[in-house]
Amino acid sequence: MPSAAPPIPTARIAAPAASPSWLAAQGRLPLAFMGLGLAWLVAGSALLAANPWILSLPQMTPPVIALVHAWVLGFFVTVACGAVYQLAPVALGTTLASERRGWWHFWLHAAGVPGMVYAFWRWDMALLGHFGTAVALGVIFFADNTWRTVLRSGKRGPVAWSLALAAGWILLTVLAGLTVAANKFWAFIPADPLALLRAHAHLGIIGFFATLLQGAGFQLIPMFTLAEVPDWRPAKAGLVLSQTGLLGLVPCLAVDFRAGTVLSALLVAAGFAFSGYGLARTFSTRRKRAVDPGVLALFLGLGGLGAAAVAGLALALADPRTASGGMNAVSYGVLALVGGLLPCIAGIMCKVVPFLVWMRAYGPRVGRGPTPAAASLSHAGLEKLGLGLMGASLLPLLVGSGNSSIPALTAGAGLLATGVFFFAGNLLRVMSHLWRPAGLAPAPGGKP
Amino acid sequence: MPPEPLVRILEGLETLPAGETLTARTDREPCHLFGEAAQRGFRHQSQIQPDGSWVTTLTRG
Repeated sequence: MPSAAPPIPTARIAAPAASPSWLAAQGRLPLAFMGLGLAWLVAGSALLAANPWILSLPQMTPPVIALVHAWVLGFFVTVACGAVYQLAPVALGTTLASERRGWWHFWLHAAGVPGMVYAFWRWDMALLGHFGTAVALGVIFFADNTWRTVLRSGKRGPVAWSLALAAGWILLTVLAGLTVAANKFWAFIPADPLALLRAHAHLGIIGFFATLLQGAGFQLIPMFTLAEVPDWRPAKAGLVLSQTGLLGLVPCLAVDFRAGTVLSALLVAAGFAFSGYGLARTFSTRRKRAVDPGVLALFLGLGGLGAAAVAGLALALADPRTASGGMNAVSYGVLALVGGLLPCIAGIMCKVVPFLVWMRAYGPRVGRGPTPAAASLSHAGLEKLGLGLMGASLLPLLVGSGNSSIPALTAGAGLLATGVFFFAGNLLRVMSHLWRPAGLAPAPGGKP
Repeated sequence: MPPEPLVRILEGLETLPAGETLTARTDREPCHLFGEAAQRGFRHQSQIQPDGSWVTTLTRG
């Protein structure tokens, strides 16, 4: 992506041709998820900016759980699912098994998540069950679609495995979440609810997001930077270690078995280290030397997830009942979500959304007349400002949540909301091409 | 820079005389090209090369 967005010439020819375009059709479903995710980013940051005190509360309180689900299910999962719908066919060299099932997923997710967040806020477990079931049905469609797409592709490399595994883990996470909620209602599992909540959270963050990044990262980084994967062994080792660790971590967290938790967390951290090494080696082969803000954010986010893994290990070593070690669980969550997932997902959006919009808005015109470059749809200044301010919010949010400091939380939430304002403004500007595509002057001698 | 290869190949296809073949070498599999080229009435064959690049031939069909 260029450092500054060149201006797009003003309209002089007609809007894109009305002829059917495979390119334009490809972008619809992923773009719908990206748009929904963007709306949730704005809503989640506004919710925190209006109520920064939420992060001074203990983790097992309704406002904290509502806020976390607004961010994780509303923003992170929505965008990640959209990215999978875009990436899986490209990475696997096939078409999505069923776009129709993808749309079922979209509408169930769009209807279910707001209801879930509201139900958590009101702590209405019956309502949560209804909306949670809608979300779970959507995720069943997603997992089934992803598995069928992987199967039909015939590919079995780390990227294919990560897509299939991540789809399985998100399904398990949602079903486990519904079980935890049902247990609050009927109390049929004799376990500490806090321990079950920790298991559910780690299942989702490591199982879905980290697994996806550990595999799909090896597709995305070469695409974004014109690099090659010089050696697939670190990618494979990273996936195997973190999957093995996760298989131990979740049950150990659920039954509060500390030695098992520490051992499993070590395996997960080792898996992250292998994947990080592999991605760094891949990045070093890039032919596009300039690092644009989206890629930088993605790498900073991966580093943040690594730091969160170390912090998680420290928490596991400390006594969880006293939350010793100078950090509490909410700060740990802030580190993983705001320091890790947010830059990763936002960075991916910076790269994927302009391309999807370009395909949809200009696909029918490509080759038949002038089109703007996909990267030029984005405004580099707004992008940098947005990502920078969101990144700057991490420290005050960590300090505020660690010390229950309302002024620090207010400052952090304000920085985050301001960053989101610029970030979302840029992406809305990009998306405006869907409704008002730029007309371009025909090249000399070119076809109109 | 992507999608520049895609743009250049599709530009070439639009001006390709009947009966002629367009051959393109890209540094990776041009996944987004295949569906669009088929929609525009072209057949393709694509093969990975020993150096990791891809050679794709397209003919009007």
